[in-house]
Amino acid sequence: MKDHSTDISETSVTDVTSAESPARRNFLRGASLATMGALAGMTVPFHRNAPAGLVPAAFAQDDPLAGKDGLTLLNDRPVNAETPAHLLDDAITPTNRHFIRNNGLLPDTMDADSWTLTIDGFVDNPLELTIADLREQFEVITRVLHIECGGNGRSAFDPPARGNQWTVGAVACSEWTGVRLKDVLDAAGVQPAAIYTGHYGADIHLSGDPDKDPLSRGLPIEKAMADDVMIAFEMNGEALHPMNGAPLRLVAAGWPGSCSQKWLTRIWVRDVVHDGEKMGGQSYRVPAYPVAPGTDVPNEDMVIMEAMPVKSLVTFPANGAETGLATEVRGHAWVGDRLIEKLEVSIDFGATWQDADLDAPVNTGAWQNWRSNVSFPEAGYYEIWARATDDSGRMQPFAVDWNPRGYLNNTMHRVGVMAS
Amino acid sequence: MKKFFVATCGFVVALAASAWAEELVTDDQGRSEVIYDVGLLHVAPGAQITYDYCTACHSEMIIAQQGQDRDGWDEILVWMVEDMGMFELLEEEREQILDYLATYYGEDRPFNVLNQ
Repeated sequence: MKDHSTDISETSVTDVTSAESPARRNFLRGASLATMGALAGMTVPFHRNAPAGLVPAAFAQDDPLAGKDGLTLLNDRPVNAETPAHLLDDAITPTNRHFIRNNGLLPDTMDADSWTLTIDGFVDNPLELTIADLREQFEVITRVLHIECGGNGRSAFDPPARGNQWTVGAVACSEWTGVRLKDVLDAAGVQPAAIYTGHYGADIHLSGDPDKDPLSRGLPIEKAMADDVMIAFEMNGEALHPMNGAPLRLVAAGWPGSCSQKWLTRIWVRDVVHDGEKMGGQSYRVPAYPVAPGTDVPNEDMVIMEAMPVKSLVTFPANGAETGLATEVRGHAWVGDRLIEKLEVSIDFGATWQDADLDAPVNTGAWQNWRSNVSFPEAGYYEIWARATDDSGRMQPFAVDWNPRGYLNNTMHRVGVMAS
Repeated sequence: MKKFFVATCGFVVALAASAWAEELVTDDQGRSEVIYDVGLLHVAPGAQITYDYCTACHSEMIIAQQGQDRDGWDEILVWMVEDMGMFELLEEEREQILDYLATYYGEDRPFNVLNQ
């Protein structure tokens, strides 16, 4: 009997100390489209036209982590993969370290030239725009924006909540290029009755039923008109990665990742709260009142999650690392629609705390980088804890605030080290 | 060329499948099942029917992460049929699947891939 269990367990254990293979890491980055085509046993006639770093869609579908490096694969159909915390050390997350959260299968085609986006519903001038139209008719902006999956941290829920059991790595902050959603909505002329957007993508429902959407969520019109919501066609200066929504997606910084529709084809402006797939029931919703762990909460008592709560990560040192008696500690902190005001670090299980140096975000919607130097009084095992406080005075908690579907876990990140 | 490619793939798949020996497994409740390929799922009676029905649409990797009691799994199966396009199961098959999931992927997650 073949034991498949090692296939995942090897990757799901946080891979803290093992050296990454530079050869492997550089392989895909360095490989040209022609090379990848050759590997797949075919030629790619137009490979010279493809943007640098483009991962062929067909290749991505076969290898769920093509063009990614070091991610932990939670699910291969639909593809869901997170990034170990120590691989999120970059100030701006490289594309190969950006997590993947898919609800369905990749679209059949992700052709940037023929892609169209429809804006309709409660607008004066419905629009149908190509990506070239977006580039020509609107101000093209580049912004560093963070996206966190609403279920990041779900694996810590007890009793367990259903869904992908994300640990800490379903968060990223890449540099996105595109246009403001607000500018496009202004061009369409949002009518006074509009209160919500409804987003549609070209991804395919797992059942294959063309009448079903894998995911169709939306935003209150106020957030849709905010400066940190973009329609993006580039990620870190290159075409979007197929698994991250190529060729066009929304990026709604600081809100649950599901609001950042990938493979974006339509924005429906509505006079009611959008009722698309995973807007209702228990999906992306939390109880309107505090509940004990394990409580069955009726749908009508659940409210839609909006801005994500205050949170931080320690990205150096890695969990399980060996260190000297002094080390730099660093990471990122973020919160939806607010600013992080303070980041503190503890090496003694939270008994005492020291302030870290905290950067301002490089732009609205970016996470904030922080660093601190810590000294350990003697050799031994220590835990480095980080705790962010936002500008409303809210701080990361120690314990999980349980909810039925395992959302919004913003507990403090803990990293264990052996000092000597 | 394309046909050759498809035919070659088919051949490789056939080879891979043949690497799986059929195996009759029985549990302490006297339930038994012939297992041929259950991917990452824990090998026990009920694993094969669970694998066959669930992986029509999604990977077993999502199942192997979960920890739900019988009611939780029941609710998930209802959702699969009502909203996700799964066909209606025969009552006997449904019980078999629920027994398997609640036993091996219960709240204590004894065979959860994250714990291994």
